[in-house]
Amino acid sequence: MPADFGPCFGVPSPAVTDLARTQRLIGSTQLVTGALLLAGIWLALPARYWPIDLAGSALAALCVVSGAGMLARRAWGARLARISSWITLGLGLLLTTALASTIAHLAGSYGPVGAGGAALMGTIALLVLPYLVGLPLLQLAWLRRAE
Amino acid sequence: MPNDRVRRVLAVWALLTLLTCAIVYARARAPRAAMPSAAAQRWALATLQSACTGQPAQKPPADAASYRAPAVIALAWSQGRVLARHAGGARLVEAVHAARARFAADPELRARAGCGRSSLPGVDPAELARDQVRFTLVIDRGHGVLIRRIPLLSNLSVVPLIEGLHAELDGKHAYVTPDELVAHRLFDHVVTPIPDLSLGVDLDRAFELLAEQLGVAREQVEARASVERFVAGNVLPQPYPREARPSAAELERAARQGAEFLLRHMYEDGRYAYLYDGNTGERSDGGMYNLPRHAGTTYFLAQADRLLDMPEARQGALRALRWIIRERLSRCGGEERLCVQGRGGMADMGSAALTAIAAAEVLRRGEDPVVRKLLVGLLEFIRSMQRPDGELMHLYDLAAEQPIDIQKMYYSGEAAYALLRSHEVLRDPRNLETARRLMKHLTGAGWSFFGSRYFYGEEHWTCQAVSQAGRLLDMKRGDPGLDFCLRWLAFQRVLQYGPGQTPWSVSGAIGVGPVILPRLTTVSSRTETAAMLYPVVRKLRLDASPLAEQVESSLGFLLRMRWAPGPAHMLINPAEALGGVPGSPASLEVRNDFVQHAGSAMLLWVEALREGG
Repeated sequence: MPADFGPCFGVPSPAVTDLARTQRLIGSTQLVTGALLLAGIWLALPARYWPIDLAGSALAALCVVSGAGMLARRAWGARLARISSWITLGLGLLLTTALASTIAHLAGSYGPVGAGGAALMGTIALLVLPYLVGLPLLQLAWLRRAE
Repeated sequence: MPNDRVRRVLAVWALLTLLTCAIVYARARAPRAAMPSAAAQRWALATLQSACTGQPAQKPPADAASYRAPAVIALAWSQGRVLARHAGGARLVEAVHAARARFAADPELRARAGCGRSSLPGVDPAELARDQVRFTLVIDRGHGVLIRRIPLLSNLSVVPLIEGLHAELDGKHAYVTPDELVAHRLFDHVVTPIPDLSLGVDLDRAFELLAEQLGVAREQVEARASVERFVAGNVLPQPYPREARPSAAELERAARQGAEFLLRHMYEDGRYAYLYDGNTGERSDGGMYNLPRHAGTTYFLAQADRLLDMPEARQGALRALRWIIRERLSRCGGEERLCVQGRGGMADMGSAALTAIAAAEVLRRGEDPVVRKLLVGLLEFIRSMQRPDGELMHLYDLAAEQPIDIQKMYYSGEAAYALLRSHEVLRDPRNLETARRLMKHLTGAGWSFFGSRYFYGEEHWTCQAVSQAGRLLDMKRGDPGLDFCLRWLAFQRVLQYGPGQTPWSVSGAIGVGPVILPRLTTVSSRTETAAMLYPVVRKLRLDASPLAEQVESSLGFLLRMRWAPGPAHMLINPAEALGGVPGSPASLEVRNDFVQHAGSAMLLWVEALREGG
């Protein structure tokens, strides 16, 4: 029997096991990302600013729903995960641009931002980039492989 | 790995980001036109002054005639407020002459007793000096874009002390200068969880000031006016900050004026004015009168008496100690244990320790039986609060007659210093033993954790205690307390600004980033410690030159920022404010301990220099 013929007598083939594992992985990551985003926006942010609150919450909801869909092995789960990964990546890149242009603005008006400013922005970037740029890139690669 | 589509997206994003940053940088950067020559500046101020005196204007120097800037703004101040203004055009000479004509024709300005008069029959000369009209000139050196809609970044958009705001509406121009922003307390507007880290400008109030000048509502300015930042070049009759070398004579003068400031603002009953607002002249404590700071200030007065021979400072210190004895002294756990009662029926370690330090300093200069009895009783209390591991319990519940084993910032270090400082006058070995065990805890087990070499607390009192131990005990190289304090001071040196690291003249200050104005007390407290440790380091033949450079750089900053006379045009009464030390370069408020820490730092360095530093 060919290896990719599918489950036979209740024993999953290696390809199916891989696929299921990838789906579980992406689904769980999406759920954790959604929860982290919600906690970050509603608990950690010191001020309410509706563009961030609204967009962030919508993205978090998308992550949670797509995560649930992936874990439930629904076809729409993968589609939503791909959409949310692209949106997250887009937001991450936008945020990185915003941080970089903030540094550019402060450097323009205050002069050299200095070691303190650079350390602060670097820390923010390090906190943000893995979740909003690195993770969606990884998820897009996983999803493509899972196809 | 990302596919080609993702790679293309990333490449386009990187290019766009780079381009955006370049555009943002170029728009934020305001050009800075050169300032007029010193002669042209002197001429401009003298010409403005002649609006009051009525004397004919002098001929401008040759280079003034050719000087141009985007705009020249003349302000007439009295008692910390702007009475009249003139925003002139690009040519300095024309703008100054136009301002002079406008001020000379201003009946309200001319009617001021202090407009051009040095004496008036029947008018108190001090009152006349207080009413003096002071002219300043602000050169608009160039404009930059103002961010208005992004929270926080818009508050940071205006560089404190350097930039103001310019608005244009229907052909009318309005300027709010950095000094006006300071006088209206609009800097350090955004409060962070750490009180000392407030930052940014209050743009709403700044827009109100622009609207007042334009004669419209703030909403009109927000909706229709073109508002920009402008880089301001201040031309003042007396430069501030004023450059000063930290020589012994200069430091003694500054410390003396600081002590005189405190005595001038002391109440009859022996309390100090907790907060003095230099702009309004108001004294307040906001219900927050602080006993450790009362005692710390008393310590400085006693120190000033000892080192500067100021009997009036000793009298002030004694008055302040008698206030504590009369109003706050209590017994904590025994007849012989004296403590200082604070809020909520509690006696705290900080108040007792600093009162003991002040009492010991008074006794170093001369005997006083009441003060000696106070000191002995306070030390009994401090010793009784020690735990078996050396740490102290910091609160005592007077109603329950029980110590409470919690620790608060500063208190243990203050207590260790009190025990050691008192040894010189009491010679009681029990105090030395308590201090030894406490310091072993503070600089050893109390500060031993992963990362302790990269993170430090507020240890200026602890390290003053270590310095005192170095003087009294047989301290050797490699002593753990000494090593700890040298590491702590080296850590502070990393945070110390050098020239050109911030937009402000704050070389020598200690700060955490270029958008936050440094605080003076942070600098003063580190300098107190470094100055006190310096002789110990020299005695042990360790390299003391980094400490000396650190201290002199910090003292230079403190001397530049103290009020001598300070930003006189923004002060309601410069004579009353003389010797004050503000909280930050953008503040006109003086708290009693700001003066105490700065003054003590200066005197400790004077003492080190006298000892052969």
